[in-house]
Amino acid sequence: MSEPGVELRNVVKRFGTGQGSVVAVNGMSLSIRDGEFFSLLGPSGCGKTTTLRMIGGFETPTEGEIYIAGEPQGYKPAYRRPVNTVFQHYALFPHMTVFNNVAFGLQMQGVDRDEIKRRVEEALDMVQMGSMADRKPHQLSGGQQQRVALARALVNHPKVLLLDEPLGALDYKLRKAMQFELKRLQERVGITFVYVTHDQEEALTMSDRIGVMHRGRLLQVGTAQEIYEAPMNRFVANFIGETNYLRGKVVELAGKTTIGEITMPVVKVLIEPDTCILTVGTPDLRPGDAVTVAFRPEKIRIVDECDGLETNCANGVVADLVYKGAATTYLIRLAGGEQIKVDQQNTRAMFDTLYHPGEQVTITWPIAGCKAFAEEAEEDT
Amino acid sequence: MIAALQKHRSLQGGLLILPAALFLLVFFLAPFFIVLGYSFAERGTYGGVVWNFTLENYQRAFDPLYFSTVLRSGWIAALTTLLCLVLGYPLAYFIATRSEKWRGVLLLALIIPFWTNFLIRTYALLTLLRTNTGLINVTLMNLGLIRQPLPLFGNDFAILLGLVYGWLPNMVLPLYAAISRLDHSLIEAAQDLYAPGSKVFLRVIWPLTLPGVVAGSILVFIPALGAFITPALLGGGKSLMIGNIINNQFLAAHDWPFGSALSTIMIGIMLVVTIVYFRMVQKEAT
Repeated sequence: MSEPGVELRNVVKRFGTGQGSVVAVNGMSLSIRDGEFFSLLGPSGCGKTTTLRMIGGFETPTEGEIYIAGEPQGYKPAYRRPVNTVFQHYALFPHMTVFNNVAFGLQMQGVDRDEIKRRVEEALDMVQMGSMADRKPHQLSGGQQQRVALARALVNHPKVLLLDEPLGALDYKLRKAMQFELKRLQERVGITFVYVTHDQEEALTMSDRIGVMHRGRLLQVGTAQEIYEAPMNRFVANFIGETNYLRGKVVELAGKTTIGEITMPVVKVLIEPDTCILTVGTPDLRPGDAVTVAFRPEKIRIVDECDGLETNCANGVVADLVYKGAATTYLIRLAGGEQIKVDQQNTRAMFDTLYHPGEQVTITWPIAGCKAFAEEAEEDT
Repeated sequence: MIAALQKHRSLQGGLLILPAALFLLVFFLAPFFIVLGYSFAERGTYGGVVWNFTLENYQRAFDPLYFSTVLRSGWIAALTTLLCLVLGYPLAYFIATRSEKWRGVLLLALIIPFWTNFLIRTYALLTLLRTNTGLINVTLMNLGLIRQPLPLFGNDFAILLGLVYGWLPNMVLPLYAAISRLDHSLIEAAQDLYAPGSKVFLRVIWPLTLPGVVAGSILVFIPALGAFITPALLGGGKSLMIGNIINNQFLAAHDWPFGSALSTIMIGIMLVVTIVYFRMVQKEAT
């Protein structure tokens, strides 16, 4: 296996000094593989953009070291790093044509004229902007500016491409289209992409791996499936996708289960007044511990009768429902008063919903789809 | 009336600028055409204006006696502009890149001199620069650093210093506005694309702040070219600019037609320089 594309070792970034200082990134270690599409995902202010800016050379780590293709970067300024950035609002030079924007990096590196022309044209063709070379940025739509920004970065053949919420300014349809295009492009050029976003869907769609950040810390690194199906703590479960929570107490340890490559204990949890559910837990859980059990709305089914050993069951009343086109979300109130969201796919065309407010229903969901977190981990949310 | 206004948007705009347009028409355009008219008339025997068409005033203006002063004034004004730009750009950049709180304080400091009358400020400079009794020469001589007073007064140097001092804020304010409008991510983008500091400035910052450079330069060049208080006081009667000659023609020589001709030539120079400058800059910006 080759060198990591980017490696962070115990990186800390503090802004300001003394009492008023703010820790933006707190002891972050991360290894991004060469050629990987890696996303840093988190809410605004979690430190993801600061991390990206440190890799790009726009900020200097207060502590720790950043390696790009095995080379420590130290205080190296941005213009001497083998990385290029696609900025949040593209930052195209407004006084230059598309061609000159894309040629800028090559001109600065002293590449000769003919080669600049060849490579710029190649880069513009790659993003289907070949016919726009003579336009000025203000004559382009948002999507076109986005493509030029990509070409301007990729034309330099950087070792790593840094992308700072590059699709944030585009409308929904275009954003979806660009997600697939970006992924295809990344596979074609084989360059390591480090992609910063607060949009979980974007991260799940494109990334080989995702790092979830919160309050300057990296909480979990994994594939889309690992992050979604096996969140390591309540924050990750809450931030990625919709999640239901039930509070309860561990009654007993009930064996083990394997998700992906990770083996986890199964615990039995009592939800007041009388519902018992089986759930995947963390290794530190003991009988008597207060826990929060998280499970996803789409894993739950509304059934006539509960059947299996591999599933959990609960009775409740339909409190409310929202028709969403592809699915209907039911809000089910359990005996203890907790409300549970249930997503039901609308598999047939209907002009009425299957269940109605006030109706008594039974819900069921798999053990592997639940995760129990100790209550003290809650300060993270 | 109101219905018609609502229907025609352009009428609304017209109404908005009507007061200013009337004001400029009466107090700017009318005097300008009066001056233009005078410049083609003859001087009466005891002053005043006699309406006989003549080009003699212009012929006289191109006499080397006067025209050399016109050229020298242009040169001094251009040099003033250049010095203001060289001093003002870093200053404006510094102010524009401070925190919001400091920007306000620094801008205030920049315009505080305006609170004092220009004439008084120029007199203050006089007390600093005067050859034998000026504060600078007296101090330097008392310290034994020089034996002879430095030629700080009554020459082009003194005029230049006075003009730069007087008009520097006119350069800094538009530059400040242009630089603070500059999107910082463009600078980072240039750095990201391998541009060292000098290239970032030449290829990105300078071209994008050119509109501020143009505005500032014009706001300095025009008053500097027409200056008469500064050369009158700091030139010590030995070094004159075109503004002083015009002043003399109207107030001392009572030759209004000739003064008008000189004024018209000056307006012509300003117009030509402004247009050429705009053109030059536009070309560079594209």
